[in-house]
Amino acid sequence: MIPTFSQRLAEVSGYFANGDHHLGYRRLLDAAIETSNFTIYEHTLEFCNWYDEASNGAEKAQLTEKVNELLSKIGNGYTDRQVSHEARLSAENISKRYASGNFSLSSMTVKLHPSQIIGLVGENGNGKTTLLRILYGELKPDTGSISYRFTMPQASPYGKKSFIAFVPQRPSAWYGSLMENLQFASTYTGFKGRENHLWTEMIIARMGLRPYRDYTWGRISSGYKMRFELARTIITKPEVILLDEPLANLDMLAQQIILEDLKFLAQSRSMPLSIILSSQQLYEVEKVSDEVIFLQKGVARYQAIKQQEEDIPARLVLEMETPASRGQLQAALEAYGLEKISFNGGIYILYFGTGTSLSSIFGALGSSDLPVKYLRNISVSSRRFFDA
Amino acid sequence: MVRKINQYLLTHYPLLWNTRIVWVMAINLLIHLLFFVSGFGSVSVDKFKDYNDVWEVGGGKLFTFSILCSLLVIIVWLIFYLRNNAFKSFYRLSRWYLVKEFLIILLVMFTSITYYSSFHYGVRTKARSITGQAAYIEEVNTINSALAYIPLSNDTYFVLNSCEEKKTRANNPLAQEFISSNTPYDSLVARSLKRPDAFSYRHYCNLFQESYGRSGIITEEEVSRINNRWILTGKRDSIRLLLQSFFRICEKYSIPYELSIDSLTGFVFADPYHGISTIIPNDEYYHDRYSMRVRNTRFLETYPLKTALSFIEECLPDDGSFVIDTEAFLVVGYTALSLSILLLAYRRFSRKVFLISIVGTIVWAILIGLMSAGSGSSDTFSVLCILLCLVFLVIGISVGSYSAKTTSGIMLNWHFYLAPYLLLFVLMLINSSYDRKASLYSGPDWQERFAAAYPFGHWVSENMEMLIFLNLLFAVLYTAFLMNRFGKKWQEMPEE
Repeated sequence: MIPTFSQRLAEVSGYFANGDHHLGYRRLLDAAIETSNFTIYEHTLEFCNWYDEASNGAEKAQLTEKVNELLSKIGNGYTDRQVSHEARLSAENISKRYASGNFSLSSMTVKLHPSQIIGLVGENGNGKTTLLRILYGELKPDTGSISYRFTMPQASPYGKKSFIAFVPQRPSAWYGSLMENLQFASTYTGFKGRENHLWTEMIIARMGLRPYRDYTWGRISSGYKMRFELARTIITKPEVILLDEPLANLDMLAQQIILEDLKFLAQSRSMPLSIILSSQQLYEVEKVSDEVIFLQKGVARYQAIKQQEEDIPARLVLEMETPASRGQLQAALEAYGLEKISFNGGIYILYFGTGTSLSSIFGALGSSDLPVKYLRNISVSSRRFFDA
Repeated sequence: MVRKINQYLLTHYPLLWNTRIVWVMAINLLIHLLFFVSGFGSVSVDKFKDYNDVWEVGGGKLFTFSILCSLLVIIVWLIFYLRNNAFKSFYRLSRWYLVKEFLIILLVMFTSITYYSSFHYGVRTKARSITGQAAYIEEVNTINSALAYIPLSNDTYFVLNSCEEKKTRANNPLAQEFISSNTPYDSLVARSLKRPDAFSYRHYCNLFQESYGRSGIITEEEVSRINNRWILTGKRDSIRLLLQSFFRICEKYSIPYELSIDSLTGFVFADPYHGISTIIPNDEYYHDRYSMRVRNTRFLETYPLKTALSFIEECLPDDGSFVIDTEAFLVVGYTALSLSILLLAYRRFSRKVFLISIVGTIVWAILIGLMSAGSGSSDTFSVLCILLCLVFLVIGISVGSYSAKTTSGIMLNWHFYLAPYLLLFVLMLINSSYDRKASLYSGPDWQERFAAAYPFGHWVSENMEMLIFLNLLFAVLYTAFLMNRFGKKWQEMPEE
């Protein structure tokens, strides 16, 4: 359920009040972008300038006052718009076999709605990129059909591609400054003159690129290259974004920020994005995805809407890191319905029969005094399909 | 200032910003201006006699320097232009965006490879500022009239080369226009040589400098008429004044001479038949029997005079209209178009397709060359090029429907590399067939009969330049609309 705009503004105010300034700052910019109002953008950018210069030494009261003043303007400048909830991308029974015969993607159906994020997970070489390229129109499926439904209907495939963005794992190098490139994209989206400047600055601020405006490709890190790609994509106001391994080469913090950003962008009320994201960072992707597709050797081994999956009582599957031996684990947990143990040398995957609860396992581990470094319930995570 | 303009273009006219058209055109304008000034300063009136035509001024060094400047400008421009490609980024482009981009590329290419022409234009402007159209006509008339009194060869004064005799012979297509007196075995010449007035000033009917299509130049009949009137009425003063004007012209263009007006005038009236008694050498020096270089006491260097006049003639506008050296324009036009097509192929298709198509072009061009050379017929080359151009198009389009994207792109690129020359190959075939048939005709009126028998071939042959020019325009439009359209279709196409 997407919160109302006033709920969002209240959330932002709450973030600042609780001292979560960084999160509050990003959500504040999201709210400002939602208004599509250039006067609000101007005020927001003034706030950004002030925030960049004074936030560290600013009084809490002063910051709260500034934030609330801006939130009030944002609230007044926002007009709710109706957005269609029809699927933007529908791929029915698509399959693909490469001419070389090395790999085939089995028949699958994907429907992507506004504000929806689909996480595409699986090990390397299992068809994630192939599926994304098919959905983007870069590869032709052998069977099935793909249809797109955008706010502005496009007759030609070229026109459609300007509303569907594909961000590859390794973005191509760009030349000139970061700002120039974003302004160039912005002009083609229809933002001219002052509007161009404001829109570009807003996206730069939102993606945390303000200090790197004048930087060139060679001067920014991999994480910021990915942020730039996202900024360039968002600036063109696409309706569908396909991201191929955007988290690869990013550190943990950067991964979390990117995923949070994607979630916020998807949940925009006025410009909701539809996102398909492939990754091997299962837990992180699962946190933001509405639907997860697990691909194994080109077959969608598992495809479920997260909420539905969580509602289904499943058997308990745990991921555990412990210096204890397989025998010790077996002995401690056998009485609790332990059916199978997988071990990859560092991590154990423990499969229990139905009816075993997590609390009983905690109890068993506590009483057996086994040293546990890490324990995670993966009963509803696609992680359970990976070998240990 | 530069930053502000760039920012304005970037946020209002991204195509102009991306193509850097404002800056490259400003630089080109500056370079053209420098070449023009350099051309203007490289000639002076005393140098006119040293150049057979405008292209000799500057010579090979000019072309080398011009090409180096072109390369430098184009490379620097490409470094900036190739930074961004809105088309490959699938940005939302306006309907005519791709056509506009191609026309900008063409404009940049055209203006970047024509620096030398501004140099020549500077040379022409300087020459015109020294001798304008009216002055040139007056000088040519003076020279043509005055040379009647400076006998440079016997034959131009030979009775059989008088205007009356030439007019009589004009109706006989087999007769020679000019008869040499050095053929005494010819009965007519032998008879004429016996006449007391065989070589007389009165028979002079000649033009030293002709100027086709330029009005105001007197004819040889007029020269003869005035000459005869002055001789018969003893107008020594008029002849003196004419010779004075002539020598002023020689001095203006630094033409070496050693002549006396009194002597020359005296020679005209020295004999009752106004016969030629003295021939004026047209070289300052001669070699005696001991091979010693000896200076003539009387001489007029006619070769530099002729060269100077031809040089001015070429520098002047063609009969008052703006002169475009059509052939040079067409060569430059086709070169600019071909370079633009290459660049467009890089912009519209993938790097892989572009590189394979370039290497492939070299390969099939060599093969065609070898096959043409092997066949021994000049038509083979044209026929093969026409066939390949059409085959590439057909394969390029049909393969596209089966989604073999790379093959389709390569074929389409090859088609567009050849397409501007398609009609030229057809014209070459028509012309060569027409020439072959022409060799079967003979007789005095063969040209008329041949033209009537092959009106289309005749029309093509007569209008070749115009057809090549029209083809250039067509090729520009064909590329602008179709190559962009196919490029877009190609980008849309899935890979496999």
